[in-house]
Amino acid sequence: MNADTKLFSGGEGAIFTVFNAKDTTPEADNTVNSLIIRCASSKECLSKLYIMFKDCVFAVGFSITADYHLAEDCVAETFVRLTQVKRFSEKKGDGKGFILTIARNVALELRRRYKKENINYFIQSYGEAEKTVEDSIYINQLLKNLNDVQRQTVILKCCAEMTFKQIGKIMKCPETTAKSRYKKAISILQEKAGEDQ
Amino acid sequence: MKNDKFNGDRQFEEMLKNKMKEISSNVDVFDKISERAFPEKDSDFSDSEFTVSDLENVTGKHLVSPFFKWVALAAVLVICVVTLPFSSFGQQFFTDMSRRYDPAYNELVAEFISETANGSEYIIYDVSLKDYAQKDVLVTPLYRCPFEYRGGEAVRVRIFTKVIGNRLTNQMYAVEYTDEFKASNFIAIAESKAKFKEDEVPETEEPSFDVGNAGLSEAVNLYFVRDEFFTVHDKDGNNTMVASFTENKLFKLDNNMLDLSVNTLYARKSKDKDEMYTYDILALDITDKGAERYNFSDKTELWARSINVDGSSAFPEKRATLFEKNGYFSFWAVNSSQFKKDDYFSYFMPFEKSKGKMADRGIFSVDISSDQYLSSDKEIGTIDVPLSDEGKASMRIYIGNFLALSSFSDPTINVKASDNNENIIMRSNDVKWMAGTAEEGNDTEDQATQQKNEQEENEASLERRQSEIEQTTVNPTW
Repeated sequence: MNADTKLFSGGEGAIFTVFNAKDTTPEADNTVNSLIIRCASSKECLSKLYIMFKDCVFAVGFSITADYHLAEDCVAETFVRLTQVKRFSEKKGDGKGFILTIARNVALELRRRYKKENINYFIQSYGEAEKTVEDSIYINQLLKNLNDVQRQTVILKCCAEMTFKQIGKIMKCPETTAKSRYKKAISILQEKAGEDQ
Repeated sequence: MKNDKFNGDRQFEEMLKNKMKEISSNVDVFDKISERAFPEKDSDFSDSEFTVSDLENVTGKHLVSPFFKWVALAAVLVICVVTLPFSSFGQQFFTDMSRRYDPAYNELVAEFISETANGSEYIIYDVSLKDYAQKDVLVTPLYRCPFEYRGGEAVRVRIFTKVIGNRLTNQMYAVEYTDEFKASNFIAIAESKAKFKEDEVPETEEPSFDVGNAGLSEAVNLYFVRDEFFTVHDKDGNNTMVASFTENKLFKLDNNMLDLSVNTLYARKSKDKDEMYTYDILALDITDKGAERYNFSDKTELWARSINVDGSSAFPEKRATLFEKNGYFSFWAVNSSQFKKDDYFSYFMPFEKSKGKMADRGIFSVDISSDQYLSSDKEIGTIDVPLSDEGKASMRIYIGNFLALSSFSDPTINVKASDNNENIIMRSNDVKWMAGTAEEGNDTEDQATQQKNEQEENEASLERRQSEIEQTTVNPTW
């Protein structure tokens, strides 16, 4: 009696979250929004966005795929998709939230595509450099103590510095849920980190 | 972050952020992005396996006019036409649908594809139609199997349960299919009456579903007995294995939103007979004031519709279930304190520690045995486990409390799973006593003395029986 269970999150390329400008700091986002609008035709704008958000896109990718190379692919695919965006409001949009939502959906797709038959998070690639391998393993060892949504919440909060309201919008849950998930996740991580030391 | 009241531990956040930054510092894929975003003539990206093929849908935003949202059939079709072209599953379905499927069926499949492909979260279980039809109580406790079982093992059902804000809901789709899961292999599809919108979950913390025994101990004590050899019987004297499991759901029923704790108690009659079960379900609505029973009548139909590809109803004319309802929880309306609280039973939870890791194992049976069991074959019995991960983790198996009275220094119970031959060892501290109902594990000295005497009598009785058997074997003419 075989059975398989997966958690579906989003379809291919699906992003349905609508972001409002009031959730973010206006100046920064106007720049980001403007870069998003122009990145389709300007390599320079794309480059700026890449420099600004590469780290948090990678972090989101890594938290979902738990794999260095898939997270790297997630970065590439997210920025390629960003250049294809046709419907984004420069005035009303939340650029950062928009980019991270794309990143999350791309990462979920990658995970579904490449890990369909293997849900073991401890068999994955960690990159080549020794320090990278070490850090990747450390992060994965820590994050393995969390469930999927807790991992994403922690990364969006710590690495992408999103507010709980923004996290709630990206993960399609109430702000209070994002907050309680984060609180629980951090207490688990602190406990585990303490045990390891 | 400034405005957030809860800030976690700054030092820890910083450490995590820095480590992640260090990992990503080696990432350098801008050239790759640039090549794909600003391609020169005839660039070949076929090796990337992950290219954007439809520019209109890279953002995934609905391109549907709000007008269409209010026109049911047209809306569903339009949404799917617009949002699904990038999905091979959707493409294949739309290629086939106009050719041979009934419009009502098309409408439902289109809704199903749209729902599961548009960013909603679903947890998915896959089970054979035979198992679903015969053991529906273990698959979807409050929902019957919505499809007709006509024999054989080849047909399967995939069940999609909507998750909102990490909460399981009772919005479900069930798809009957053969071979590979693709639209052309669908036989029928069913949808639940309940439908949730993403923003519909109350903005409150997940309620605590700790309802203690939820009447399980009372029901076991009330409806089952154990003999002097610690074998469990039902009131008709049949050897029985008794188990229970609990699933918590955000439940929508007639526009009421309930936080339901669904407790299922089921019993399998002797392994020597045909596989037959009796069961009862106690659905507790968790409110600020406490837990209140929500009664589901046998005739409550929670599926909205079940449709074959030709448009006919796929609901079975008669349930093929092996589960027969018994009013184990009928005492719930009565003050349970009036019942005698015996201490005849114990229970253990073989999959409690595997929560989150059992979802892909489907329905299987477990054989329970113990070297300390007062029976010559040492086998206590066999019982099936529920389908869901939550159900498995919360599964309790009830036994006579022979283990607690064992004179062995480390008495054990073996739980052997039929699907992978995994053997789980339960030790005495894994076994919870049901002395009374709420105060598990509290035993009085008098009870202990009484039970010890009882055990000695049982052992003496067993020795006498074995001696008689040996004598009979050695001297068959006696």
